[in-house]
Amino acid sequence: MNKKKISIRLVFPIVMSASVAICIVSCMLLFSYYFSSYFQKDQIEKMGRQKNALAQSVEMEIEDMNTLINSIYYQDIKTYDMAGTSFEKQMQKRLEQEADVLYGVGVYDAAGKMMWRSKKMEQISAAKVKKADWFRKAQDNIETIHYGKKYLVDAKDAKYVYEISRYIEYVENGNMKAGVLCLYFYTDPVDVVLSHYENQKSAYCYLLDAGQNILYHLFEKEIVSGLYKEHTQQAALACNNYKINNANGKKNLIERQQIGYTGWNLVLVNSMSGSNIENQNLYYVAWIILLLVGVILIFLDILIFRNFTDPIYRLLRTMQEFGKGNYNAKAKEEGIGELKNLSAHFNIMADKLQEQMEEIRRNEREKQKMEKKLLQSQINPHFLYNTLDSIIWMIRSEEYEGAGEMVSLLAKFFRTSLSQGKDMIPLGKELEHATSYLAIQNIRFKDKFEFQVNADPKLLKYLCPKLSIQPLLENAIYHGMEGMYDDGEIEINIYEKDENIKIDVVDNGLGMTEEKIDYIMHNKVVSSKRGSGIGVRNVNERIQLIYGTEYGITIESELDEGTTATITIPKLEENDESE
Amino acid sequence: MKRRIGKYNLILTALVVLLLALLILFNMQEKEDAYIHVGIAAYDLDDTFMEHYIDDLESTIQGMKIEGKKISYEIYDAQGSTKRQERQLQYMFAQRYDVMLVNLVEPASAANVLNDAKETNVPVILFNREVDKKDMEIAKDVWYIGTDAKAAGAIQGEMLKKLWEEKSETLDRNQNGKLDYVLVEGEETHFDAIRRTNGFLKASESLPLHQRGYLTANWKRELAYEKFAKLDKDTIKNTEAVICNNDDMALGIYDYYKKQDLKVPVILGINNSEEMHRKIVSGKIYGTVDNRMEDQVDAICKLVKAIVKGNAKSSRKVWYSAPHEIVKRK
Repeated sequence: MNKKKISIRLVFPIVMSASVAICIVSCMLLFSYYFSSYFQKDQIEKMGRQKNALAQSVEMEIEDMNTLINSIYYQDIKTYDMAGTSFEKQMQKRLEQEADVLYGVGVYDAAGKMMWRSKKMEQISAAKVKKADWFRKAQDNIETIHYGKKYLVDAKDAKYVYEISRYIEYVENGNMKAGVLCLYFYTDPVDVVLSHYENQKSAYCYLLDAGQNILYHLFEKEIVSGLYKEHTQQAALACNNYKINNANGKKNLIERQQIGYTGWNLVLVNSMSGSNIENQNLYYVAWIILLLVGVILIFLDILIFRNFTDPIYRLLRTMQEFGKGNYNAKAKEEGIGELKNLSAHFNIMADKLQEQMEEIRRNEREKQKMEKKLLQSQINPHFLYNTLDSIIWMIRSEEYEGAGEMVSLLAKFFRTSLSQGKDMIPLGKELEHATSYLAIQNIRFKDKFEFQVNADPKLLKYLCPKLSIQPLLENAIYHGMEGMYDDGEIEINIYEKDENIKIDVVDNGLGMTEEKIDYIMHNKVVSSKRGSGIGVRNVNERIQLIYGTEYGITIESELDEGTTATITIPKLEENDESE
Repeated sequence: MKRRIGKYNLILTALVVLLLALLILFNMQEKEDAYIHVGIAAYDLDDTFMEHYIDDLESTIQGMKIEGKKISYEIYDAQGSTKRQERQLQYMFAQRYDVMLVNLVEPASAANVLNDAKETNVPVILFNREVDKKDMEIAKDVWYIGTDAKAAGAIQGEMLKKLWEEKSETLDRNQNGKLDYVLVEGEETHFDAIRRTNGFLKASESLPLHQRGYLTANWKRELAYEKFAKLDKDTIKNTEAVICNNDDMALGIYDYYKKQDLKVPVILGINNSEEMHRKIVSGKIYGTVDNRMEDQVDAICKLVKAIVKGNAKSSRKVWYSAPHEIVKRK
């Protein structure tokens, strides 16, 4: 039972908050993971695009060179006989035109003997030529152009050239012969293309030829002077698409692409730590947003939960109050959907219960009333016997007049007692009944007491409960008059006071003690066996039952002075059939 | 409450199972393809040789079945434009063909294509237009199928040598003791053109050759005709043989002689196209070299089969058909 006492109001928000927190944290972890992988992918892709663009530019430069070489080959060398003068003229013209890209040209025959050369080209012996890489490669692969090493040709301006060669067929004196064409192209166009990449932070690129010699490097001077060494070369050549390399505590992204036709390799190196810092801010923003969302969610949860539980708690309180006995307690019908219904149904239930209880109470009252009615209709038989006895005695003693009066009084008495079964009768009738009773008793007690009726005739039309005065008279006679040797006096005063009717029964008898009054008022005592059988208490209860507790009987008594019993009832007209 | 949780669990598991089933279904569907898709890129279908080549390839592929699957193919004609082919190839790589047969417009730009092939893992068979060896190494699943061009050129040289040995006096019309010839080369930088010329040069070294003229005609009949017409009259008059890198150009030269109503010299072509063959049989043109196009087509089909079956690793990266001479039999 104790365990269940842990309030749902506490447990639920905690559970909700915990689950929201878990959600947020797992979201964040997932987010971080995808974020970093996305950034990595993005970086790789970005670099891939840059790589492609660079490679394409380099390839374009190579294509330009190829076009020039082919044009020289097909349009000059192949078309003009080398022995003729037009060949020399054509070649000079060509060299002049292309002076900014082309350093020089040399034509060699199959044996390596120089057939023709431009001015800047060195004279090389045939044996040396035959051994040269470019010469052999051109002869081995007759179809393509060979891109060889890089040479420094002009130390002053730091001009470098590529050594490029191709197999050719030239015509000399009408004879077609095989040979090799060697060209020196300036490296500048390619260098310019690649140098575009150096502008970028923490990224650089370099170019390797087919023999893995560096053709271009951002830090070329440093490499030459031994200040820098490229570590990524091996990794770059091994990588397929991209590679993340950890070297010297630095994380580098490496991408490589082979440049078409030449067999060159373009390598891009990008530091990965640099780009992460840029993304750090995004992480923070994401964290803060998620945290905010989490806080808002928890807050909303609690708010909604409050809205949800508050009606239940109110209902609970109402129920507790109801349980304590406050049947008028009503639950406020508010809340969402079913909760509202719950309160409504509780209210319906409470109403039903109250109704039922009211009915039970009414039934009880009815029952009591029935009992009272039964009592009031029960005239103590002793009174009848005694009265009849008195009449018989009167007749025997030939007091016929008195007997006749007695019988007529008795008849009057009973008419009122029965009064067609009505419960409420006009005060006048009741007074008649009371006086007939007093007259009978007076005869019986041989004028032992005097009685007097002072009634306000205006009040006689109002209703009063039947047989309400008689028990007081009985009380006055038996408690007040008995044992009195002086002439007793009984007075009935009917008057109006504070909009109520007051009926006083005053006697000048012995009086009663407080205890006795209390006894009479609260016990079911019939004043005497000779009486009507209806006790004072009965009358009091009956009046209170009909009119309410502010009405009823009060008795004031002083020993040796007398007793005054007062009935207080409201003014009720006959036609006002209340019950 | 407990029962409700049980209900939710049931729904959840049902959803997961449904998702898995869908996934599996989709995967199955992807694999269940009744066709093997082949994309064919041709450099120019206006080229009569290429037209024949592709026709032959088409008819062979149509009848082919690999592991019970038919082949569905699409042909993309670049019409000689590098740009157009670039776009076509990009589209083709996006189509994820099972195999791509590529006849490049610009063999020097093969690196781009092969880089794409490497990225998309689509096997590529290059044919007819050979690319640089270094570029072939870029991607793994790349093959080349072509003809032994050097041998074809050498056959041309041999044919000429034989002819010179047998009847040099009729061949040497101007009686200068030399064989005056004009060389008509195909497309510049085309591997086959270079090799054919080179083969011819090597085989005919011993002949007293004298090159009267040289022209490149991009494999085309009309161009050969036009360029040849521009040679000076003396050269044409003295020409005793015209060595062409292919039949179309040889026919162009023949057209010129017919038009000018001159005596047709010895013309040598390569390819053995239908028209050329007819002219050789009727004695109008001396000879040509058959470079076994059918063998190449067969080789391509075999390679496609091997690739689809997954045992192409052992196939040779570069395959050449063996050419042989065609002359009029006496």
